[in-house]
Amino acid sequence: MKASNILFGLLIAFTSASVHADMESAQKLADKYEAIAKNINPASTGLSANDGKAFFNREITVKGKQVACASCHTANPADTGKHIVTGKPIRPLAPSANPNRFADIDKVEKEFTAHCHDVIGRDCSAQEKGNFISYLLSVN
Amino acid sequence: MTEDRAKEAALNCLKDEPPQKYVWDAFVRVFHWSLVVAFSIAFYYRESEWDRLIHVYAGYTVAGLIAARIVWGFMKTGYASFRAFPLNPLLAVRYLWLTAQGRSRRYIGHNPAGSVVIYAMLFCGITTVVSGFLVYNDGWLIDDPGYIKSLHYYVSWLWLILVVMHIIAVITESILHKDNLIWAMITGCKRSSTKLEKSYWKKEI
Repeated sequence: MKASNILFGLLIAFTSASVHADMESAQKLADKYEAIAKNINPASTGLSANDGKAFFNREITVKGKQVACASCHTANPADTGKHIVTGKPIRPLAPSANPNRFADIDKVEKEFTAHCHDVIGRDCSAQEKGNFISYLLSVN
Repeated sequence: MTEDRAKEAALNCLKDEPPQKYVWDAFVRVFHWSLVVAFSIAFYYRESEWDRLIHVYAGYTVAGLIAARIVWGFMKTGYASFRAFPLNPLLAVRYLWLTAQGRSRRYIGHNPAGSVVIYAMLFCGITTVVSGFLVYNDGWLIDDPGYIKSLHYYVSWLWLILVVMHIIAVITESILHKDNLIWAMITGCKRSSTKLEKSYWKKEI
């Protein structure tokens, strides 16, 4: 076997391992946030897809603009979004429409940190993140 | 026209006391400091989605600057020409070894270690700009945003590390060879070198 063939095989193996339809890991992450939320607030009654939806559509004034997650990602997370600053298309958020979402949990947590600071100016709470994922998982 | 201006600049350097040699032409100096500014802007505005357009335009500016510099490097542009600073890692290691002992010779253009870093920075610059373009225009050419994003991230940090090395080297070099390399990149003039030093590159190649 040629070295180039082996390299190619490895490349395929790596890419297919990292890109994987991942409802399961999304659920795992949601469970993790649920546990943290309960730890912080014992009165928490678990995750709510409805609260997640409200959070997704809630408008906040940032830099003089009324923005929500939905501003870029549209009211339906299964649709292709549009960046409100650059106008560039954004791949769908919902794992049902985009199997690459939640394939890499580290990346999800990084995106949460960056986006929460960008849009609501602080970290999101575990409850908010958990609700958010529940909502995305509920979208078909 | 440009030749006249170059002549005038060379004469200006000669007016200094002691007389100096015109080394960095106007293009190189403008390129260098524009790159510093564009790189800094892109770096500062790297995080927030709100600043994405500023980041992208700074990146495109960097792309244009690097492209122009490469064209300039292939032209007969004296010390700015790629021929004036060949890529030779062995010479670079030797140069570093001699510098560590404080007895490396002075080069009027890029020294061998410097030229390795310059080519590495050019490589990182091109890779950063291309990967950045692909991140911004998602789905174009390579349909794997995760991979391109990581590439863009790591190669631009590598570039920053090289910039830090470049700055440290400029300071070291300025002290060791009693030059002011930062000022030289502003005026273009450098203390004249001996004949031996000037012919050094040619001999080594």
